[in-house]
Amino acid sequence: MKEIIFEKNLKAMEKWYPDFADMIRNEKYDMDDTKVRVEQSWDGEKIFRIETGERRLYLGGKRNAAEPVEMWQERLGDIHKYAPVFLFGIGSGAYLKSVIHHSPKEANVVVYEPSMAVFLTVLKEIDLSEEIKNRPIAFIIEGLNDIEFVPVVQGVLTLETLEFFIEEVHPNYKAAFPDKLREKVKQLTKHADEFFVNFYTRRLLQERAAQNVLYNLPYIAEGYNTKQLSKVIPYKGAAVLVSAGPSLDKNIEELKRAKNHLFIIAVDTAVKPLLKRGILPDVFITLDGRKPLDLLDGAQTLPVVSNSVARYELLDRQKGKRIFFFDGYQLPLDLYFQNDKILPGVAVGGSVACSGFSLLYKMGFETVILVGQDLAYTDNKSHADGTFQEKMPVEHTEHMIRVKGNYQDTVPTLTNLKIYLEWFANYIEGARKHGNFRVINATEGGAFIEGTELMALKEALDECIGEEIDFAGLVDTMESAFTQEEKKKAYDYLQEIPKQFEELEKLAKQLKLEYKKIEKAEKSGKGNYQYYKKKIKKIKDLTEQCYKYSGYQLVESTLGTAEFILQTEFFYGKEDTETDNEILQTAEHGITYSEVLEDCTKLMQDLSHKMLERADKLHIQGGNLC
Amino acid sequence: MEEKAKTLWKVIDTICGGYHIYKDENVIEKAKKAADQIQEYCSFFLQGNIFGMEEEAYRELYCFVVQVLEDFVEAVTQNDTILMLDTLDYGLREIVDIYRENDEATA
Repeated sequence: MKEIIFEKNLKAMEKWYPDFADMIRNEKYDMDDTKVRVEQSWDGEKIFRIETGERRLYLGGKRNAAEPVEMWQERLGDIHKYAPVFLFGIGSGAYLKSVIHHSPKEANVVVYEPSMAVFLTVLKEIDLSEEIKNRPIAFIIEGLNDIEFVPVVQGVLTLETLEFFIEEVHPNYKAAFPDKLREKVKQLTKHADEFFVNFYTRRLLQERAAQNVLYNLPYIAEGYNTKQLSKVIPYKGAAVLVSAGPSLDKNIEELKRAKNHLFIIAVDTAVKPLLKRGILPDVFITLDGRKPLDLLDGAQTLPVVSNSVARYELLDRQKGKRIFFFDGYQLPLDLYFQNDKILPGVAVGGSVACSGFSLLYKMGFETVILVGQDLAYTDNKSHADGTFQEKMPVEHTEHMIRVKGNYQDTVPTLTNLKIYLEWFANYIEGARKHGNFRVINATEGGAFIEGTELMALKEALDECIGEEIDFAGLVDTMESAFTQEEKKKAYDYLQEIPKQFEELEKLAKQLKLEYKKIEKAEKSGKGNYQYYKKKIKKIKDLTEQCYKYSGYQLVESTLGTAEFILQTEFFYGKEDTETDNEILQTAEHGITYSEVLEDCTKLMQDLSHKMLERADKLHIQGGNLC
Repeated sequence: MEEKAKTLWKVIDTICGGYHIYKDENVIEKAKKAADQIQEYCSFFLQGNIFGMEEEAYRELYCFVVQVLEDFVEAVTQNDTILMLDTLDYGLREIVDIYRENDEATA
């Protein structure tokens, strides 16, 4: 009987994953030492009881095995057609069977099983053939194909399916296989969180990304970058990174002592409360393309460290030096490539403080003192007083996740802040592998960052303050990375940018034409495999040609939101207006996309012409555009 | 006993409902807190056939109650959430129903 079930299951699996089934048949796996006993529940279901280490655990109800599964399914509710469903633990197979029966066939079900022994018992004892023969279920089994876990996660969890994502752990698996499970759940959550944060951060930054990058290009062409900054700050002792967390209120006054003794870099939101107390940071750093300008009123004379996508109106106002770093956009990099030079980068961790921290490390400081780096809602507030409001309101934090605190057992925080927290810990760990790097966390509250020393700011300053140094004066002496001739080369390159978008417009028109041809052929019934194959190749070629232009990156980033809308509408819409003609759908989708692409290239032409006017003005005036 | 049955019913609902509906996985810890109440309630059925039941029927009840207590201890010892939920929802609840049903009938 066991052999019959085993063969039926493998045969059903073979249809989708022949190699996987072969590996099982040929016993190409590492068996773990879990012992599995098969019992029958009082309500007649086959259930497993496992022994792992000292533990003996049921994987199904002894008296009633069926009802808990029904209740679980009820809690999950309706599963969306395109939901990625991750089931950690196959158990006695009941939860998997249920999820297959209660989800549309298009839903991607991924099963991770930490025990080969349990999986083999399922294959031998539980007939899953009916459930798995008609749809591909991705089985990731420890000791068999666990290496495929991350690629499967990356394949299944996409932009369009993210919001339907379901993750469930089989009861008792956390107790039975804590380490293996933690590792895999962490990998999945990390991917989902990063995806989520990156996507929304990108959407936030992208909203005005193209305009900011283009309008900032003339500034970037002046040649001030973070490497040049590093050259004029030879001091390698300690530096202070001031962030705008709520704990900044507690020790901001103390920072006066640091001025002209330690290099002070402030994140943009922390500048206002600092200036109010007469503390001028040596530089401030900004990343956000939509940063409210009033947060930086009075900071016009300060040097600013910026990415290319930072708000151009903010940089327009600055009379201090505008110092850039590479943030992934190609056009700024091209200005340097013209002169066989590179625009140095700093790490990006999602928040401006992460980039400020990375900058200090790259500048060679051996000690960084963190102030106001809460990464949590200390005293139930989001930011320090005097930032967004004179007195920041107390917020409800009951729904928030909690993490270990610096001075409290736990503190409330948000998912994105937790990711930044992990970023800091990982960055510190990585930096230490390359040499001494001390991080003193002088934030008087907030979340604990692994790898930091907790110390009151007063004590940290007592220990680190040395001779008096005029850092602001040193920044003033900073030179451009470009000679006059190189600057001219960079300006000449700017003149070529509108032409890139003109070429891209032509390509968009050709793309639309190709999709139209597909649509026409399909509607008239004249299309065939060879014809479509030829057209798809042509579309691929045209797309590849787009990528040859650096400016296409800006078009793509602007299209990001439009594409998201198009794609999610596509996914939602399919629910009601199912048509089997995927070729027609693809063609219609492609036509719409090409039209949006064409509009976008026109917009970029307009913006790049305006950028040239700005460049001319800057070149003639040799100063500010404001 | 009716009052004790009512209280235990609520305990079972809180633990099992909390798990199935709200995904509250703190099952074993919550159950441990109710251990004395459960033991006290179950012991009542083990003091002899004071209900005047047929010998065979009482023997069955006796075994059922003992099994519930044994499973409760096993679930706590092994930190077995499934066994604990099963014991409470489909074992203890049956015993609690004896007095709850009487109570409902007289109400």
